[in-house]
Parts: sequence; structure tokens; C-alpha cells
Amino acid sequence: MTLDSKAPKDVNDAKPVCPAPFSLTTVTHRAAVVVVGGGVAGSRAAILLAESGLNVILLEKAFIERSGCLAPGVNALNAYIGYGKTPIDYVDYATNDAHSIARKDLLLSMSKLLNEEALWLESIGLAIHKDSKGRYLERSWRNIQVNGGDLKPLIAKATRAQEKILVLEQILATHILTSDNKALGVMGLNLKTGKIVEALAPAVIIATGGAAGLYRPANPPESQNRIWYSPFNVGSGLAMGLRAGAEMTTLEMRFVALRVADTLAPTGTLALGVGASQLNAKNQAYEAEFGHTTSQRVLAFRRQIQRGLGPCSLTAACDPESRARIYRAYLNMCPSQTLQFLESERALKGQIPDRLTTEIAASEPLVQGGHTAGGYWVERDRRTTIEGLWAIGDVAGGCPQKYVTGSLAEANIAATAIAELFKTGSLKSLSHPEDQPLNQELDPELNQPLTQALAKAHQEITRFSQNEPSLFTAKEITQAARKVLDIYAGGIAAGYAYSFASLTAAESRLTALMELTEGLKADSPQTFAAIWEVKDRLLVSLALVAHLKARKETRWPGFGEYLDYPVLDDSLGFVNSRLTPKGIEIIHRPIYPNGLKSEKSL
Amino acid sequence: MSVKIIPDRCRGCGRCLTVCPGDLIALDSSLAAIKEPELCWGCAACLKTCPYEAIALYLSPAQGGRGLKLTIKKDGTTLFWKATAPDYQTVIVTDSAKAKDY
Ligand SMILES: Cc1cc2nc3c(=O)[nH]c(=O)nc-3n(C[C@H](O)[C@H](O)[C@H](O)COP(=O)(O)OP(=O)(O)OC[C@H]3O[C@@H](n4cnc5c(N)ncnc54)[C@H](O)[C@@H]3O)c2cc1C
Ligand code: SF4
Ligand code: SF4
Repeated sequence: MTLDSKAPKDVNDAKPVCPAPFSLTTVTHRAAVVVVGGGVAGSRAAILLAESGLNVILLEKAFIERSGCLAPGVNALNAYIGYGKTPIDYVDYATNDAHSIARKDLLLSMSKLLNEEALWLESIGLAIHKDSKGRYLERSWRNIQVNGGDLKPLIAKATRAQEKILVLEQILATHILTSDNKALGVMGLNLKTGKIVEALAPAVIIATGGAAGLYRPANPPESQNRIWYSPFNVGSGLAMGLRAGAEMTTLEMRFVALRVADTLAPTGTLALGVGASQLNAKNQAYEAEFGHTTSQRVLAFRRQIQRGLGPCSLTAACDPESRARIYRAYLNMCPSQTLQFLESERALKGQIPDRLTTEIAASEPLVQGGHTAGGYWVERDRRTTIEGLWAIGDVAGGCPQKYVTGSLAEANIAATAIAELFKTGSLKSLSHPEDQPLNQELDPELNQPLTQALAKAHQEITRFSQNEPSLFTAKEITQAARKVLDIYAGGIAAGYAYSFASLTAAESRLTALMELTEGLKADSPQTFAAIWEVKDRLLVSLALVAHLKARKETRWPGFGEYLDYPVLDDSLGFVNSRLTPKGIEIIHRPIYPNGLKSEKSL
Repeated sequence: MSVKIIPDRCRGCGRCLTVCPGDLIALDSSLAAIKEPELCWGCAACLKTCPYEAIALYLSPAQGGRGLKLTIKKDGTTLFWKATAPDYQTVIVTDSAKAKDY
């Protein structure tokens, strides 16, 4: 199937003809399941589906060797059920940390699989620290140490070993193809060749991670991507879902991370690794002032700054051996942090102090369902509100404190459910039999709803090539959008606070920026990707602002303060949303949805 | 800005091109080049992959960087992380196969 670039209406027209921006040929693939995002969750789901005999297409915008949050590596598995503890303990911990806005049914199904997935990681080659009895070494009851600097390449190797997985890399997925609220496949653009890729299947899994880079970051534009979360996860899975009509939940529970200042490195390595504690400028410990949840700890930090008691630090007594261990641990997860320690050693000209100390800071807010609970609204088997569409990992909502093992667990849950649906015949391939050889360029007769969905998506991709050269760039609009959220929707500049009036201002400015994106010109796959990603970010930002407006209370004061509504309102339940022709529609759902009357019915 | 290609060492083998999570690296006149340096995450995936120690990671001035550069020499699963500046040098060894060697 080939789309011709739009011919000029009149060949004698004196105006220069818009050149074909990128190849407009299309490649079509079919399989039983399409997985979008070859990170932790997506790769694991693809492996399990292939093991159950299904053909899988895995779409990844970069390369699975190091894509996603795991590119730098990990030094712990942060979700684990330690000795003497049960999955229910984890459910209680995560629900409490979320100040009650979490789905216990989702948390329980995940928690039951955490340790099994840790075993799987060990089976593919992850070196896990053990005690003298051969048991995993616990950093805390829900956290074990690992030597995971190369964990992502190990997962990639296990993925590539599966013959039934077709890994397609450098593909930016842009659309979930739907008809009648039913998923039919995914469309994307090959960033290398400029070809449009259609991946068709009756089951689609979204595993694109969370949304970073919505807010203005802590570091200046030249190092704008030196953030904590993967800057390449821009929320496109959420945007695709919104456009397809999927319901989202709890986007307003933004994650503000307490991190090492400047490098934005995670602090758990110091807190759990050498028992470092937070001290303000007067050397006072303040961490537990408001309580022990993540949000309360961020609040305690922010209050020190507001009271003139900053800067604050993370400090521990540290012998040379522990120091060396911490340096190695950071090299395995955030190498910049070791570099920062070494820069300070260098400044001290070899006089290494017996205390390890580093300044801490709060990050810009981000939206994700891995630490916090923002993402797709899913059922217990991780199916979304769109038939044939599943969501797992950081893109799925309602189930916080996932981390690596929780993302793997969700992959396991979704893959098991999908394999079962194929086994029972509830899911069947599209018009062509599923045993079509993979990787073949097909041009079959497509059934009508699919043809329509494809035509619409094609048009949405190619229209940007037909624009005249534009005054603005996608980069400028990205920066403008970040400024809007920073100032009007509770970013760092606004001290994480917002009001109904400021959110209304954010909405109108974001809407104006979204209109500007329509005039942007794509003249290469890369410029198209930049345009598409700013559109994705703007759509997620608009949904986020609608969520912030609707949660008329201040539930997680560390993450954000709604100045018009400083107190709690337990009647709000979950704040959910859907994109309709009229804009973002807000839906309130009870804390125990889906017939789950109470905790007892878990 | 987080990483720099060291031109004398780069042999244009292309290995780093296929590991960047942001797909930021391309070959330019048969040497690796970071397409949009301001978009670099600083994850060091490219450093870990380069067989010729041809990529250096550093901190920007806004991150408190004062010119110390990190490069990696690889030997199987063992990585030798070298931090160098005119007045300073140190090497840290990690091995992803050894859990104890944390
Ligand atoms: C710096 C850092 C350190 C961490 N350390 C730890 C730790 O020590 N222990 C722990 O347990 N957890 C840790 N985590 C959390 C853990 O990494 C995440 O929970 C986990 O990676 C989430 O998995 P995911 O598959 O949802 O997302 P990812 O692993 O990020 O995968 C998302 C994938 O989708 C791809 N993608 C995105 N958009 C598109 C698109 N439009 N088209 C195609 N592909 C797309 C991305 O390229 C990426 O490959 C850490 C996270 C970070 C950021
Ligand atoms: S450090 Fe990471 S993000 Fe930067 S160029 Fe290398 S691989 Fe890409
Ligand atoms: S891997 Fe190293 S030598 Fe090869 S192209 Fe990249 S920088 Fe150059």
C-alpha cells in the first residue's frame, strides 16, 4: 500500500512544491499481539506471549538493548516481599503511601508475583546479592540488592532469543488503531526509513512508560534531559490511549522525587545503603516531621527550604569500604552521581572525609504509574476500557510502587490473560490467519473499519509534511509548554502550588500551543517525531490539568498543593478522565470499583 | 550536554549508535556524533558499549562539573571506569557477573 505525496494542484503554480518529506510507503505486519514499548514491561510480556506460542510484534522507538528507564541500570529491586512478610503487607504499604488512592485489587495481583519475577531475573543472568544462607540480601523488607548495571541488555538478549517475537526498532508508535472501541493494531513511523508501519493484531499491549519532560526541569536548557526519569518516555502511550478514547486515572497524583541535587540521582542507595539521613542547614533531622509516606517526606524537605533552613543534605558516616561500595552502586544506576562524588574528592585534593554527604533537591513533577498511580484505568488482568487493549508498567494507573519487579509482574498478568483468550478462542487474528509468515510486506484486502482507521491515522501523520515552512519549531513549543505547567500548574517555580484560576490559565495557554503545533512542518522523520512528541506532551498536559482541577482537595501535599482546597475530601474517590470531542471529560469512580465493595472482596 | 566523542579514539564502528535510549547518535564523516547534545540523558549506555574508550561522560557546569571526565575500558563483564582530569586520576572496577563484588 503506497500513499502518494500530495501532488501540487497546478503544475504551473509558481510556488515551490512541498517536497515529499519522508518515504510514504507503508509496511504492514500482522501477529497475534502487538506490544508497544520494549522496556522492562513490554519485553517481558512479549517473551511470555511467545513462550505460549503466539506471534508477537514488539515496537520500540529506540533499541531494546538499553531503551527506557533501565538504560543506566539498577542497583536494587525495589518491590519485593521480604522474609516473614506477605503480599498483603505490600498492598497495605503501597495504599498507605498513596494516601488511599490506589486499587488494592491491582496491588494484590502484582504483589503476589514480585518474588517470582525476581527469580526470573536471576534466571536470565542478573547477579543478586545473597547472605551466608544463600538468601537474597535485603536492604529493607521490600527491597533487595542487585548488580544490575547491565540488566537491560540481559532482558534484551532473552527477548531476541524468542523466534516468535519480531522486534521492530526505531519505530515511533503514534496511533492505536480502533474501531467501535476495539483495538485493531498500532501505527507508527520508522524513524530511519521514514516508512509508515502498520502492526495489526486483535490484542495490543501498551508499555511505553510514564511521561517525563512535561514540566520545566531543574537543569537549564543545555542539560534539560539530565533528569531523574527517562526523558525519552514522553507520555506517548497515554496520549495514544486518550486519542483512542481510553479512560485514564489519577494523573493528578504527580510524582515529585526527592533526589540528589544537580544529578537527580535516586537517594535510596544512600539512605538504605549506608543509612544516610537528611539534615537541614542547621544540622537538624527533619524527615519524619509530617509522616513517613513519600509525599510527606517531600513536604518535610520543601518546608525546610520555605523556612530558610535549606540547603538540605543526605549525610552518613562512611568508612572507605562503604564509600567504594556506594560509588560502584551508583555506577550501576546513575553514573553521574559517582562522578559528582569524585568531583568533590578532587576538590578536596585527596583529603577524603569520614562522612559522605550530598545536597538533595525536589524534582519537577512527572506523571507515571510506577511510583505514583497515574495512567490507564485497568481491570485486574490489566485490560483497559478499550476492547483488546492492555496497559502494563509505568503507563498503567491505580497500582503504585511497581518498580522493575512490579512492571514484570504486570507483564505476566496481562500475558497470561491474553494467552488464555487465544486458547479459548475468544481472541482470533484479523482477516488473515495468524500463521502468516512474519516480516512479510502484505497488501491484503482489509476489512472496512480497519481501512478507515488506517486512512485516518495515515492522514494524521502525513498532513504535517504538507504544511508550509513554519515560523516556530517543535522545540520552542515544548519549552513554552513546560513554562506554562511550571508557573500555572504547580511546577518548581510555583512551589508545587496551583489554584483553580492558575489551572484555567494553564488550560487556555496549552490549548493555544496545541493549535500552533498544527502549523508545524515535517520535512524528515526526525522533525515529524519532534512534532508528534510535543503534541503527545501537550495532550497529556491538558489531561493532567483537568485532573488537578477536579481533585478538589490537597491529598499529597508534598507533590502539590491546591490553594483553593487545602483540606481532604474523601468523597472524591478516583479522578478519571476520557477525551471526548468536547475535550477532557472527568469521571469520578469510587475507591472500591468493579463490585469490590470492600477490602474483604479482594 | 553530557557526553563527548573523543575523535582520536573513535573508529566509527557504529556500536554506540544502536544502544542510545534516545537514538541520539549518528555517524558523521565516519565518526560518531551526538545529534542533539542537549537531549542526552547521561545514562552512559554508549560508554559501556564503545570498545575503544572513545566516549567521555562529564557533568555540566550547572551540575557542579569542573571538567572531570569518565571513560570506560571493557574486558568481558568487567568495566574499568576511569575518571581523569589534569590534576586527578582514579579507576573504579565493576563486574556485572559478580554479585558479591558490589
Ligand atoms: C534512573 C532510574 C533508576 C531506577 N532504579 C530502579 C531500581 O534500582 N530498582 C527498581 O526496581 N526500579 C528502578 N527504577 C524503576 C524502573 O526502572 C521502572 O519502574 C521500569 O523501568 C518501568 O518499566 P516500563 O516498561 O513501564 O518502562 P520503560 O522500561 O521505561 O520502557 C518504556 C519503553 O517504551 C518505549 N517507548 C516509549 N514511547 C514509545 C513510542 N511512542 N513508540 C515506541 N516505543 C516507545 C521506550 O523507548 C522504552 O523502551 C528506576 C527508574 C529510573 C528512571
Ligand atoms: S549517555 Fe545515554 S543518552 Fe547520552 S548519548 Fe550516550 S547513550 Fe545516548
Ligand atoms: S562505539 Fe566508540 S568507536 Fe564505535 S562509533 Fe561509537 S564512539 Fe566510535
